[in-house]
Amino acid sequence: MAKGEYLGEFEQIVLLALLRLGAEAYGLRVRQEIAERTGRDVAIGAVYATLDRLENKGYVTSRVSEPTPERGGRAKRYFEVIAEGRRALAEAQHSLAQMREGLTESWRMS
Amino acid sequence: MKPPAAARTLLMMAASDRDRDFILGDLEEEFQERSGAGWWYWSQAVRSTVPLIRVAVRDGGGGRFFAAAFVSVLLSYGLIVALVIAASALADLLLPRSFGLRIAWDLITAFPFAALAGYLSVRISGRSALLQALMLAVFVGLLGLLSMAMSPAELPAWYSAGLIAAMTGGVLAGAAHFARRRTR
Repeated sequence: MAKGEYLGEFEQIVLLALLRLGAEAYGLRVRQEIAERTGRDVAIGAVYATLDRLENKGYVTSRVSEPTPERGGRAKRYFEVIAEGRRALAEAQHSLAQMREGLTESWRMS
Repeated sequence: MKPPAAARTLLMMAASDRDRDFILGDLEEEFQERSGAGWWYWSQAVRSTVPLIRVAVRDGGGGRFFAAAFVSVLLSYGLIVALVIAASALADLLLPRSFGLRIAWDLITAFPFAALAGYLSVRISGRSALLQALMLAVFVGLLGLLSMAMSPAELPAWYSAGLIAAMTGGVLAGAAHFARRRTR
């Protein structure tokens, strides 16, 4: 993996949210999923900034829906994790697991 | 129920063309789900500003974005100065030689001229209208402070402060107007 393509913590959280939401993954739902699971009430701007970055890195794709009235006549942008994104996420998670390996549970307390 | 207009304008100014409509739509949808929580909308708008400006700068190529923004700020500032000089010349012709009238004229004309400059500034090169307007407002404010320090003693401090406030406020209002028009 080239330098600059490593996944930050929030990027991993956003990718995991996309995977959990599947076909329903658009900005608002991603924000709500993160809030529900992590307790972090993130700003929608931070979610979109991260999604844009992940799309530029080639880890996610997006498509635009039809406009709907409950959104003031605006469309939704749905996101999907592609194979490269899944691979990068798996590597990042593996690295973390490797670093944790062998540590006793006491590291959480100290 | 409608989201707070000023908070929406802030978002319109901060977001890039690519994300603007989706972000506004997402927030509008959650705003309705929350039965119109204005404080929540404001919190989202304010906290989204920095990450969205960073995206706009990154998409515009960092250095190139600031270079283009700086040029448009200089052009706009040149426009303000030219208009203020023209207004001053007009005042010499039309107004009686009254110190009070002259001060009122300066303060009243500064706002629309600055608003025009703000509008043009973001139109020339702006990806993030907010960043562009803030750059111009800071520039105008600094030069206003400089001229305040160098101005003749008979000019009251409140006049210079009022002029700076009118010009920076005008710049931001002009940029906000452009952002609203772009989103319509």
